[in-house]
Amino acid sequence: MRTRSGPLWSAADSAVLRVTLVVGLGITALGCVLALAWTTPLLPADAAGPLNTITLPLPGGVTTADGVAVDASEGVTADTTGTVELTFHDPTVPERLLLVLPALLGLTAAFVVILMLLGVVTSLRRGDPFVPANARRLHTVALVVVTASVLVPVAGAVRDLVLQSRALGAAETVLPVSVAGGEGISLPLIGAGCVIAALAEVFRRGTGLRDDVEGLV
Amino acid sequence: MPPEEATGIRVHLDELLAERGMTLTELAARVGVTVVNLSVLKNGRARAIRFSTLAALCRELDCQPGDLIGYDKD
Repeated sequence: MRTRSGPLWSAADSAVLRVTLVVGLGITALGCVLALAWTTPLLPADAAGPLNTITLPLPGGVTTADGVAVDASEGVTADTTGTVELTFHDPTVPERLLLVLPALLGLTAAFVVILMLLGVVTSLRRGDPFVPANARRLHTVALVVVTASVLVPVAGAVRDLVLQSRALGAAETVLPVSVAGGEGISLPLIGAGCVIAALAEVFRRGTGLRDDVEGLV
Repeated sequence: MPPEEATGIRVHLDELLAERGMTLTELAARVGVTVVNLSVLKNGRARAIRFSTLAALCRELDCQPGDLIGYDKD
C-alpha cells in the first residue's frame, strides 16, 4: 500500500514556478545585457545607477571630514567611522569592465541557475523528473552556486583594489579590501551549494530506480 | 530488442483472453491495473510483473502462473 506524506505538488504549482523562473530569466538576461552595454562608452557613466560607484570601508580609527556626531544613549556605542564612496564619472572601458565585473558574474550565475531549474520544473510538469538530465542540471547548479559564491566577492575585491589605486593614486591611506564578511564570501551559500550537490546525487540514484521499474506491470 | 526477446519469457495473455471471451479492458478493470500497463504485458514489452498483479490475473482468468507465462529457451 502506497502512503503519501506532506503536501502534494500540483500542476498549478508548476505553472506558477515556471512563470516565476521565466520572469527571473528575463530579468537576469536584461541585467547582463545592460551591464555589458554600459561597458561601452556609448552609455554615460551615470546612466546605470550605482554601477560607477565603489564603496570601501575606512580603516579603523579614521573618520570622514563630514563625520556625523551621534549622541548615543547609555550602554550604546556609535561608530562614526564609516565608508568612502568613489564615483567614477568618466571611466575608461577597462575601468567600466572592472566596475561591472562582480555584477556581471552574479547575474550570469543567476541566469544559469534559473535556466537549469526551469529544465527541472519542465520535466516535473511532464511527470518524469527522475531523468539523467536533471541530475546533470542539479550538479551544474551546485557548481555554479559554489563557484559564484567565491568568485563574485573575489572579483569585487580585485575591482576595489585596482580602482582605488587608480582613483587615489599614491594616497597615504590605503583603504582596506576584504573578501570576508558582509558582501564577501558567504559560507551559507557554499553550504547551500553542497546541499544542492547532495540533491543531485539523490536524483542520480532516483534515475537508477526509475530505470529498474520501467516496464514493471 | 523487446524485453521478451531478450529474456525468452513469453506471455500468453492473448490466448487466455480469447479462451475466456474477455476483453483487455474488462480484465484491466477486474485486476485493478491500467489498460496501458496490461497492453504492455500483452505485447511482450513488460520487463517485470508484481506478484500482486500476477495473482490478480490468475484469479480473474482462473489459471496458474505457468498458463500465463512461459519460457522459451531459443
